[in-house]
Amino acid sequence: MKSYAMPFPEAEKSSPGRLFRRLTAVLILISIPAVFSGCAEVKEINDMAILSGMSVDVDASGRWEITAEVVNKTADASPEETRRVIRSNGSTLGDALENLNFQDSRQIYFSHAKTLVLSRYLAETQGVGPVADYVMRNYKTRLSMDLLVSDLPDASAVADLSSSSSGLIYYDLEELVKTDRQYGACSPTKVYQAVNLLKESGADLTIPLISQRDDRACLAGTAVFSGDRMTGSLDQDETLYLQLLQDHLENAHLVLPEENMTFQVMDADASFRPVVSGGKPALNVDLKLSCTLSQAGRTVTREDTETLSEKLSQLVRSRCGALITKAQLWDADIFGFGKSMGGLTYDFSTLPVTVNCEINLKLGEVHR
Amino acid sequence: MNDEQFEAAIEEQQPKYQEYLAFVYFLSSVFFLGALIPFHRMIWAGILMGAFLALPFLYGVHKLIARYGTGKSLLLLAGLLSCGLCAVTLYCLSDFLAFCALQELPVWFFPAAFLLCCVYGAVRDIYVLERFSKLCGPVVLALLFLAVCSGISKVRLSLSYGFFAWRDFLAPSFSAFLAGAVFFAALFFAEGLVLLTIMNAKRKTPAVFKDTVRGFLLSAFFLAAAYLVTVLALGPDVFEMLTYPIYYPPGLTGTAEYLERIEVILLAVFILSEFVKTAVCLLTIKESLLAISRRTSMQTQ
Repeated sequence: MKSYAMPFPEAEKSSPGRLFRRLTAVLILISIPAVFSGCAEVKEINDMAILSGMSVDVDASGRWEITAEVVNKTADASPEETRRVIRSNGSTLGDALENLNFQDSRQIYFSHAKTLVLSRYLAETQGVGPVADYVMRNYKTRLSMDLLVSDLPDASAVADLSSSSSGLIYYDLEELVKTDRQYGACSPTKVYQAVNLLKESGADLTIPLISQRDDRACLAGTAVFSGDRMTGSLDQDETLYLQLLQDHLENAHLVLPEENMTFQVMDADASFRPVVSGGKPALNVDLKLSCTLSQAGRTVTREDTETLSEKLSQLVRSRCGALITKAQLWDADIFGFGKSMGGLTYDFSTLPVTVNCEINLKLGEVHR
Repeated sequence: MNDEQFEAAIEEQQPKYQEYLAFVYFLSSVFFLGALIPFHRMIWAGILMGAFLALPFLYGVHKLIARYGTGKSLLLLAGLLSCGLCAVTLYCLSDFLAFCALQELPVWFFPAAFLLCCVYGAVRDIYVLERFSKLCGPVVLALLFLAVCSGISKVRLSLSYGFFAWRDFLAPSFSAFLAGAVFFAALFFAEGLVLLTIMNAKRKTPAVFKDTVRGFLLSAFFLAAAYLVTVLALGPDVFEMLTYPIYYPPGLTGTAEYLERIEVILLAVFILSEFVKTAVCLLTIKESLLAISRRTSMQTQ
């Protein structure tokens, strides 16, 4: 069969210089559309109302209210002028958010919003579903926004709190969540993580709860959800044990008040073992903690290690047991036990759970 | 200089960058398809399996070409496949840009400019595209590697428990996995047939098949890795809800404003790859049209 291969083109004429010029031309041509498109769509940063975050409220009549903070970082803006709060409302969440566009002469830019605060009433009555759904469907908002539930009377009250560092309260909240996570005080939940938990079976959602101390925002524990509705809340101490059971604990301290001692958790691991006991499903929770003594009110010797380990273990077991009982009352599997149950049929609220805790205690220095 | 020496001299002058071209060429196979097909959580396994399923068929094409040369039938088939690939590429690219990136521009603007660039690349020669791939291939590889690493840092396995459980994850997805494997095998075969045909039509060296397969497998491996990391980082349910999921994990970076926008760099990888693929397809169309016109003129004479 005859080949239709073309003769080698310009084989003798072509030189590295010619090829390089061609390549350069191609590269320039590729860059032209990008440059043109930038010109066609160019917007000065000052012509956009950049949101740092927003709060979402809903009233008893079902009317939605959005409170958003607009960044005003011009060179001549005074510290008081670096932010402006705008408000809008509507009969649905989407309607209220679209109405935000009428509250500022500039185009509202959602993509830099870092935090989304929901009111407690909204979380209890409407749930997280409508908010998560809106964010998932709209490209203008980011999936990586941190979700928070306000323990204040309204979520909008968050916008009236004083900023402690950046001058922008919603950026401060993002920083607050990041920092407190390092100390085991909260377990941040981003929008896409919430959507996954809502969609999958075997685990329920938790969202950090914020409140105020003086006129500043502070974390106040964790909002607990069963399905997409908030059913209860945990305090700061319970939040620490929640993270331990969720296997998210990175760094925290435990206190034995009767011994006047503080222990630093250096490493923590949680695993779940489903068992069948008397024909009924049950769950064993195995916790392994590596701790270091960080403060002692008396002289501690190596002989005390075993006794202190046992006391710590007892503390962790009792706190975790109480927390599990509380979650079972709310029927909220916030620990993800359901993911470990395999094919066993069980009822979370009556599932017998045994907590085992192994403490590896060291009396050396704390390196954190 | 006799014919053999002339052939040898020509081969000596050819750039030996087929694997770079193949790597860049195959890379854009999946990303923009989100506009046409829903992505499943098992897409990464489908890509890998599809790549291995396509290999024997591509070897068959290689053997066919080695035995009979790039006859007019093969060139015509490659030309037709190229038309389809170009049409799908342009449609998907327009959809992505209009939907996600350049909403305020007319929908035809960027694809038209893009097509002009591809035409310019195609009217030159395959060697220009090879050298272009040699230039941008390592950069593309580095950026993709960066994006995959960025995605790995976002993985929270507690969100993906279902991924490891047969009951929750694999069993309901098994048919989707098989369908994905067959679909990607067909897609890779079509793309590979076009590339092998045009490479051979342009009298590339005998190592063309080996080099093409090397670039192709590297590309498929990175695509599968990128999609697996995306499933783990976003969670399987969110992954399935998004049209262009691989675009998201780099954007989840919350450490610096600049890094947060690294997704745009990832997009550049796929647009460069689309450029190479479309240019190769246009070149194939040109060659097949030339083959037809030559036959017609011979009949007229």
